[in-house]
Amino acid sequence: MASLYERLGGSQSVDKAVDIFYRKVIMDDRVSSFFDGIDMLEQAQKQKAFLTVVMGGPNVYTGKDMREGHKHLVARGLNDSHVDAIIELLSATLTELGVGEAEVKEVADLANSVRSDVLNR
Amino acid sequence: MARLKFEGIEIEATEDVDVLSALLQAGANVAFSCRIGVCQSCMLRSVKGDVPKEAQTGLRDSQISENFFLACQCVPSNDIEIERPYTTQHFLEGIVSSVDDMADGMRRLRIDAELAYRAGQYVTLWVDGQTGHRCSLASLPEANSPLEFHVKPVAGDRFSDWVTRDVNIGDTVRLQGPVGATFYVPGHTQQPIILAGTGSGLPAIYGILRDALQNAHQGDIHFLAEAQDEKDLYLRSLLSELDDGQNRFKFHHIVRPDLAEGPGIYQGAMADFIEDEFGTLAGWRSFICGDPPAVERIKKEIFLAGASLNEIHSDPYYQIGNPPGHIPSMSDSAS
Ligand code: FES
Repeated sequence: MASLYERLGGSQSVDKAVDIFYRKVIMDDRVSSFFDGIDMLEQAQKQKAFLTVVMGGPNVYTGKDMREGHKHLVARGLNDSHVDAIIELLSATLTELGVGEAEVKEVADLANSVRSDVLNR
Repeated sequence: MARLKFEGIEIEATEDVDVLSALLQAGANVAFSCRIGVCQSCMLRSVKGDVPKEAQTGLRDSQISENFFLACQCVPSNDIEIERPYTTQHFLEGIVSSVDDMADGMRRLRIDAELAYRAGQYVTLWVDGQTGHRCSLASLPEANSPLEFHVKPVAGDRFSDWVTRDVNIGDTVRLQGPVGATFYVPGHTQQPIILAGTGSGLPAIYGILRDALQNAHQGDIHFLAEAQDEKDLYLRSLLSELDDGQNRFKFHHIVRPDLAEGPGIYQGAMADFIEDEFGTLAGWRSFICGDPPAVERIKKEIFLAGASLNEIHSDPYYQIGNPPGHIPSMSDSAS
């Protein structure tokens, strides 16, 4: 079966998802402080890569990349509760885009599977 | 086989190897993350030589026209000379052709130079070996017309002292640039546009406005100038001169309550103004230039008002480059 990424229409639909997802993230007090003081457009592009991967698009992230990329955030207090919040916002984004429950769960599980790498455990 | 030139090194790229891998292999300090052409952290610019189309997938029109490309997706078939996207080691000489006072205590500097640029880009002006100042271009690139810069005098600043006191007509300066991908790209002529600027970004925004008007943009254009002090109101007279009575654009100065009042002046915060004036910005194209913290804030405000990230244009903040004569080495990284 084609991935959710392909079925939703590839790169352009991810753009739409990033708009919705990023808006949720920066308005959410639980996680927004992690996004302060960095170039929003550069950051959005990273989110796009993240969404591409968790929606089943091409993936070459290694556990090592995930660890390196989040080290400075872990030092600033990034923990399980923040990962939970991000996965919740991601699920809400997909639901808003009309993605079915079962598939939203699939994406959430995939995002969850990198939790220990992200948190450098 | 393609030859790559980057910050003083030259590499023979073997067939099928992408530029990112080749540069990393050679020990260059280049950022990257996803390696699948999505995160854009490996973005570089070709200053000589074509890059394959696939290496520009997902980039903005303005970035494409400036030959930006994604190093991880670029397998070149010809030689290319590469620089980081927002710095350049291209220098050229210019001659000061005039300098005068503008409204509200601003200074205008005109320089004759053979510079190919787009309104809204910026250069670093080097007035001696050490004093470099980032200046946005307020002029349009027309044949035989000088480059125009608007400078805000700041007490105790070397460059500002030079512009207000020491400069002479006929002086030679060195220009480094141009750089930047925040400029008007013709097309989508009905799309409404917001041009937002603060401080040092105001001349850039003024240049982009002139460019959009010259390209006969049809959609609404709103110019939002956020003023920190009186000098930031200096564009009022220039903007009225641009107004041909056909209502092709509207300008608004956003100020603190005690700074100024009158027509076209809104006292309060940019976010409130956007909400009062437009409600939603879904479908709008926006350009934002100015002081980095303010630019970040305004980007967020415009995004939260409904604009799509793909339609928000602004340059990331980069440090001023090295002075003329500096030999770059691979350890000089863009920050
Ligand atoms: S490394 Fe992500 S686009 Fe090249």
